Amino acid sequence: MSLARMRHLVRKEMIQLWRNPLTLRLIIAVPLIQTIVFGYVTTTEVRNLKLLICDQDGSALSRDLAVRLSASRYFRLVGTVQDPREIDGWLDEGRAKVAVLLPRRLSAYLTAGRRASIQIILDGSNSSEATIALAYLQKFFYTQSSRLALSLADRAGMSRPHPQGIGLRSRIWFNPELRSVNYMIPGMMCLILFMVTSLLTALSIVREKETGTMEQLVVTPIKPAELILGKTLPFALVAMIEAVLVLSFGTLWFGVAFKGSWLWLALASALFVIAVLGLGMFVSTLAHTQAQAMLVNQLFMATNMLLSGFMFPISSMPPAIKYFTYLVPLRYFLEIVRSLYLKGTGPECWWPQLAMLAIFGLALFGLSALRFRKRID
Amino acid sequence: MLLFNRRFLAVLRKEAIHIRRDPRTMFVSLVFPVIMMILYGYGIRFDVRHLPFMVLDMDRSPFSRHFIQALSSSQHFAYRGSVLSYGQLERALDDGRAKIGLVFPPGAGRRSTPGGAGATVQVIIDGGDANTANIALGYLAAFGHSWAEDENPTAPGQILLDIRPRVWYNPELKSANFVVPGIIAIIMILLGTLLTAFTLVEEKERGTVEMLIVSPVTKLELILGKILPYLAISLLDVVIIVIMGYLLFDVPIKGSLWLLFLACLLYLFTVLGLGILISSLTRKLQDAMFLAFVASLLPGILLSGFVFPLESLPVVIKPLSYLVPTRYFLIIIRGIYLKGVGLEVLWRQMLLLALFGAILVLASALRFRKSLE
Repeated sequence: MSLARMRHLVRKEMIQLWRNPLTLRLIIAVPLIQTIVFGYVTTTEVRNLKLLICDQDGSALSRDLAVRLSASRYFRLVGTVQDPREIDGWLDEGRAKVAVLLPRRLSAYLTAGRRASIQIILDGSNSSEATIALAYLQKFFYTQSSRLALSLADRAGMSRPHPQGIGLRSRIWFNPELRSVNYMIPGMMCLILFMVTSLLTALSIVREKETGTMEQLVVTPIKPAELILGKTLPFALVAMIEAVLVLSFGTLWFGVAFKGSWLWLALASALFVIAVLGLGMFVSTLAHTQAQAMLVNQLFMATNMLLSGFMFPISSMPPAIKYFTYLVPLRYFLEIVRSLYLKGTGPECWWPQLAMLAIFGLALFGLSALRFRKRID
Repeated sequence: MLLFNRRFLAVLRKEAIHIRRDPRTMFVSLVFPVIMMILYGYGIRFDVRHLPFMVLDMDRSPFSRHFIQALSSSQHFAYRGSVLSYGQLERALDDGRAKIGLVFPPGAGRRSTPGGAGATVQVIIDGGDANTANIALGYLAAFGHSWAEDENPTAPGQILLDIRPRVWYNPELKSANFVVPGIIAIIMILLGTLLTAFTLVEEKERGTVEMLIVSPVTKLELILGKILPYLAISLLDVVIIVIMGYLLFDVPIKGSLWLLFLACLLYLFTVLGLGILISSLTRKLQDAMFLAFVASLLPGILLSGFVFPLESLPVVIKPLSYLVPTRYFLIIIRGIYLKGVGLEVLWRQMLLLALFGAILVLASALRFRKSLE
C-alpha cells in the first residue's frame, strides 16, 4: 500500500471529473434542483380541491353552508349547479373532484329540528386525497350540525344539549406544523449520497473497461487495494460535499433545523458511503457498457428509494415486501438521519440501525472488492 | 411515404442489429419493467395501514378497552401494547416503536357516558412524516365521529346533518387503482428516455458518429430511424405492464383498450423524442444521464400529479407543470382506466401529446448537427 501511488490515481480521477465543465455543472446542479423540487412538491396535504356545489334548496341557510364550505383552504369552489344530473359530467371530465348536494327543503327540515341528509360525491381516484377530504367534510358538517342545534335550542328557549361522546385532542410531536419538507430534506441528503456515490463509482470503472484503459491501469505497479481505494475515494469526497450542500440548502432556504449531533451524523454517513461504494463497485463488475451500468444502477436506486421508507412508510407495505426492506441499506441510514434531524435522539434510540449499517458497509465493500479484484487479476 | 426510403430503412436495420447484438440491453428492457412494476406497485401506498400505536391507559375502564379494540380492528392502526408512564410513551415515540400514542386520562370512561361532561382522549402523533401524519389524523377524526355516533345513537337534536358520502371511480379507495396506471408513464420515462438518450451519445463517445455524418442519410431519417426500434420495444413493455397491473394488482380497465394503446403510442413519441433531444445536446453518457434525470424523470414523477396532487403545488412551480407531457398522459390514462371515459372527454390532452411529440422529434433533428465540432 503506497499513498503516493494512490494519490496519482485520485488526481487522475479528479482531472477527469473537472475537465468537462458540463459534467461538473450537472453534478452540482442536479442535486440542488432535486432538493428544491422535492422540498416544494412532496406534500400530500390537500389544498384547493375543486368543489362543486349542487344547491337544490336555494335558501339562505343552504347558501350560508356553501359559503362556509368554500371558505376553507381545503376546497376551491369551481361551480354551482341546480340539477344533480350535471354532477356526472363535472366529475368525469375532472372539472370537479368533490360534489356536495344540498337537498330540497333542507332549510325547512333543519328549522323544524328534523334530520336532513347531505349527499357527498368524491372522485376516489386519488385515494389519499379522497380520504383526507372526506374526514374534513365529516368534521365540517359535524361542527355545523352542533352549531345549528345550539342556535335552534337557544331560539326555542330550551336548555343547551350536553356535549357528548368523546373528543380527540391531537398533539403533533417532532414536526408540529406538519411541514413535509422537514421530513424530505434529511431524506434527500441520504438519497443524494446514494445516487452520486454509486453512479459515479460504477461509471468511472466501466468507462475504463469500455475505453480499454483498464489494462493500462492493471499493468502499472499499482496494487489492487490501491486501485480500489483510488477509484472510490474521490467519489466519496464528491458525495460528502454534495451532502453538505444539500443540508446547508435545507437549513438556509427551507429553514429545516438540525436537532441532533453532527458527529453521529458524520459517522453514520461514513458507514453508509462505504456500503454504497461497495454497491457501485458491484454494479461495475456486472456491466460491460456505461449504459448498462446506468440501468442496473437505476434498478438499485429505485429499490432503495421505494423500499426504504423514503417517501412511503414501511409499516403500510404488504408483509412479504416488508421483510425485503431489511435488505435495503438506505432504510437504516434514513431512520438514523431522520431521528437525528427531527427528534435529536442519541445512539440509544438507533444503535441497532447503526450496527446494521456497519455490517452492510463491511460486507458490501469487502465482497465487491474481492469480486472486482478477481476480475482485474 | 417519402420517409420510407432505403436510407431510413438502413438506419432502422442498423439500430435493430445493435439491439439484437447486445442481449443485455434487450434483457434489461424486458426485465426492467417487470421489476419496476413490482417495486413501484407495492412500494407506493398512500393508504396508511398498520400504523403502530401505544396506549397509556390511566382510566382502565371498559370504555378505554373498547376504544382500543375498535381502533386496532380498523386495519389502519396496529396496537403495540400499553405503557405505564408518560416517560415510557415518550421513549416509544422517540425510538419509533410507536407512531401514535393514546392517553386516556383518569375518569374518561365515566365522563363519556350520556349525561357525563364528555371525555377527552389525548392523541400524540409523530409528525415527522407529515404526509402519513396528515392521513392518520384524517382517519382518526373519522373514527372519532363514527364512534361518537355509534355510542350515542339517540342524541336528540345533536346530529342534524347526516352526511352520506359516495366515492366514485375507486369506491374502495384502493391506492393501487391510482398508482398502477401512473406507473406505466414512469416506466416509459425511465426506460424510453434513458435508452434513447444513450444512442446518439454512444456513437459520439465511440467515434462512429463520423460515419453517420458522412453517410447520405438526412437528419430526420436518422432521428426517426433511431427512435422506431425503441418504440417497438417500449410498446411491448406497455403490454407487459398492463397485463401485470391486471394480474398482480387487480386493476381493471374500464375504458377502451385501443384508446389506451393509442395514448401510449403518442406518449412514447414525446418520451423518446425528449431522450433523443438530450442525446443530441450532450457528448458524454454521464451528462446525458444527469440531464435525462432533471429534464425527464424528475418532472415526470413530481410535477405531473403522479403521486402528489397538482392542486397543492406552490404557485411558483405550478405553471411549470403545464410543460410536462406526463401531466396530460396521466389524465388520459387515469380517465381510461378508472372512469372509462373516451375521446369525447380526452381529445384535448391527446392533441397536446401529439403536439409535444412532433415538436420534440423535430427539435432534435434540427439540433443534431451533421458536422464535427
